[in-house]
Amino acid sequence: MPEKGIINTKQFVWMLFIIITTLAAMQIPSMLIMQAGRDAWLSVVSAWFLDVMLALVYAYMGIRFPGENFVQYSITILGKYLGRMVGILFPLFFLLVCSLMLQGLSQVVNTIFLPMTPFNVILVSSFLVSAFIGRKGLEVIARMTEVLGPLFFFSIVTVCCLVLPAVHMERLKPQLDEGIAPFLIGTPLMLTSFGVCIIMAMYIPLCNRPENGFLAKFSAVSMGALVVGLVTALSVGIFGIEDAQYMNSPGLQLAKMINFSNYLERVEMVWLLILVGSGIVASSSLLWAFGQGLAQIVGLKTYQPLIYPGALLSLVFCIGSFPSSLNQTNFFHYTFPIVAAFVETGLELFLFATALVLNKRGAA
Amino acid sequence: MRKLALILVCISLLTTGCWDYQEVDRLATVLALGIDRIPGSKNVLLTVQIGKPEGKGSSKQIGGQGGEKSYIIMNSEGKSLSEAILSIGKQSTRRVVLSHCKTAVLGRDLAEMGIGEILDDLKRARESRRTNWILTTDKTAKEIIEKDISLEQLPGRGLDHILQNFKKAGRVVPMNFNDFFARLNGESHVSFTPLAQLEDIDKQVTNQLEKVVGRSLDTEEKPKTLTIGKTAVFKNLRMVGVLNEDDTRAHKWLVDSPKGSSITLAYAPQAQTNGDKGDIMFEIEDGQTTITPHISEEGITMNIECTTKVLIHELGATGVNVLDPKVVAQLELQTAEAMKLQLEHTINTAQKELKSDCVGFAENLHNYYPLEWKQIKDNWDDVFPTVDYQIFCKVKILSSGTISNPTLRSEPE
Amino acid sequence: MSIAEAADPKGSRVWNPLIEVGVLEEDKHMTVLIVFAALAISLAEGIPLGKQGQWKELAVMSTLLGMTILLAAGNYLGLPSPLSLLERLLEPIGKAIFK
Repeated sequence: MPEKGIINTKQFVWMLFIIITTLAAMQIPSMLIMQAGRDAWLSVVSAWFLDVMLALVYAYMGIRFPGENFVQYSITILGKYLGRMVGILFPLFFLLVCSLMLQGLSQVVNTIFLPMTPFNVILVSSFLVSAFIGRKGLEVIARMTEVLGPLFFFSIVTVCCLVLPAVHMERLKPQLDEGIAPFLIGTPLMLTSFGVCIIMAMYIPLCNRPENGFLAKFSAVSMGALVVGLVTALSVGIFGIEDAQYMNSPGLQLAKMINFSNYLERVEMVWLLILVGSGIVASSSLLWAFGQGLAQIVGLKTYQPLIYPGALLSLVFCIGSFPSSLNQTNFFHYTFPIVAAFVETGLELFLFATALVLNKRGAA
Repeated sequence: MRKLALILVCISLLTTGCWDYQEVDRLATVLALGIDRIPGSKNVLLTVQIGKPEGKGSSKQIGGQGGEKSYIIMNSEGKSLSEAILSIGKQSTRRVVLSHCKTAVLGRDLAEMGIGEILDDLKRARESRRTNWILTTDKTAKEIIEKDISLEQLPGRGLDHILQNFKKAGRVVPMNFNDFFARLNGESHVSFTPLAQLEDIDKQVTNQLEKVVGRSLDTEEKPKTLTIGKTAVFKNLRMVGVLNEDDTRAHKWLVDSPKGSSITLAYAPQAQTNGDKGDIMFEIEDGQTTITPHISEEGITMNIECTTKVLIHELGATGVNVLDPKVVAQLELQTAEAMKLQLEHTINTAQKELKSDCVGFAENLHNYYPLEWKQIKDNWDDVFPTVDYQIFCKVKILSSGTISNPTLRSEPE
Repeated sequence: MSIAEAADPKGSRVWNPLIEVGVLEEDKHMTVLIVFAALAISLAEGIPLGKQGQWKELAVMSTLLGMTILLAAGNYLGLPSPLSLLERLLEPIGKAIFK
């Protein structure tokens, strides 16, 4: 296997958590609110449940094919050629998510914090740092998340607690105003974002206790769902659904709302810290997963030389496909869920079913 | 390779801020913003108050009187709010920064013509914060922004302080951008802001005294004073009317909470009903108002329940023995009655005069009867004035301050 | 930048009505930068790989960089990127499901 590093369960949890946090810090809450209105938090809960169900499949596959990630077991299950064709979709998907994340992150930084700085400078720097970390390997990323993850979790919860005085409960009422349809449609939207955690299948073989895969995913998604749910519910409770649904980063607006006894205010830098920190680390692990997956498909000894080219490819995707934040939001809202649902659920369930039918098992 | 990457990372981390560096002494910090519009013209007239950090108005010259003021006023005009803000740049040697602007004042004409166009900029702008205050004035915003506020070097900060105080205790509900937008977006599309006025309080007092004394008083003429005591009501992005001071007070009980407010009761002990009524002022220590809608075949009824805990702040009535539980009970009942009357008056004003639901009936109806609301929703404007309501007030006197009964009473003649 | 753009209606924005993708002058500079970056990466990563005789790794890396340069050239010419194609294919489905 190209990656030599080993991670422990704790690092596993925080790595997954950081990926969800990035999405929570970006547009996901407002997209959810647009879809599900006041019931958006219910979508988060149901998506959390479905994602845990999905994680069972991933964890089972991780145990059924010990020491193999989905790129490898798709080759084991489907054979050399078809398996490779299916397997390459996973790394490409990670590259796509990386593009989306860094584009979204740079847009927020550019519009809110560094308006004079050319957008491309922020974007390129983010890619450069991500690739730099990604090339260092999984252990480096894991150790970073172990430090940053708890910090971010704590900061988000603190931010949410501090904006509580601004919440008007009546803006969250009535629940289920339009029936259950809006929140049911919101569920897949949220699920596809939680679903980026299918990267767990890349980590399971490298975890010192692969059998803890499900537990790790469960804890990470629970914490992530708490964070996304809090941000979503608070945004509705504070801004009302009409304004919240069009916000580019509701979490940031929440941080801007903090005015604690008129002395603790202007703490949105905390949100910037969370956004940039988690965004960069998450993208670096996505780049790592891309490199690792591609190296395994082609059968390379090392994945490191592929990280910088991967980052560059992702950058070209960004520049070519998302000339503005509007394009990115549009893509994120309408195209990404379809792609993600196909890769995260469709492909994996297909592999799962095929493995059962053909009765394939891992070598070990 | 490693060194190269390290250098690149260092450069990208350290130098990205270069484009956005801002020297503090190259900034013009806007403290308050006044927006006006002339009827018939599309242009926005903007007045900004900019703080002068090195202003000579040091602590010796409070209020900027007698010395150089510690702020300057700039005016500009533009087709939209953001264009007007940009065109301040034509006269300012420094970059105009709005992130410390805490108050926006809307002129009366602008408010009455509609504020739809300027709201978007207030929401979208990077520097705008949703915790900023919004005020309306019955004159032009320019007058309010240019007005000195006594005790404050920077009137913009002064406005902020007044509204901050209202948050703790006061008769007016202070409005920040966020709540203003959220209410406008709400079911009834009705929102409200405090109303800033310029009043010649000094002259009023002097005139009354002069009448009594029969000569002109030997006082200096003072400029008008800025007061905030009324509420401007907006409906569908237009200002539709003003609640007077008493209605504003009861309005706060309804939409916020009675806490921090006060109520005055004209009271006379039962024994001497023909005697002069004295005023008793109660400070509302704590309180809560709940509106529960009820839909029956007869129509919509709003049950308004207002419970308050009060302190006796001033006892102006004669012959009141507050140590007698019966008297206290009676005081409580009568206070509740007075509150009820005031609340009825306010709701009546909203229903009959303003015809706009600034008391939050629509939201409550939507919350309790989501299905029925969908049918009422479209003609709510016609339904609202006919909505029936019942008010239940409950008052509990908690304490009487540092003394119980008044020690000096004017003897009944 | 926005004001400058508004003041210059002809602008640097080139619209190709056939493919509906606009390319800004700035992004064209980026393309040039990307090509240089690709060359730099191929040198920095490729030389050690060549020395160690890891030809397969070198080939995969060069393919990736080649794809990058091709895509960047596509951007430069205003051709739609693969993600735009994906978007055109899947967006109608997304719009049908989501609000």
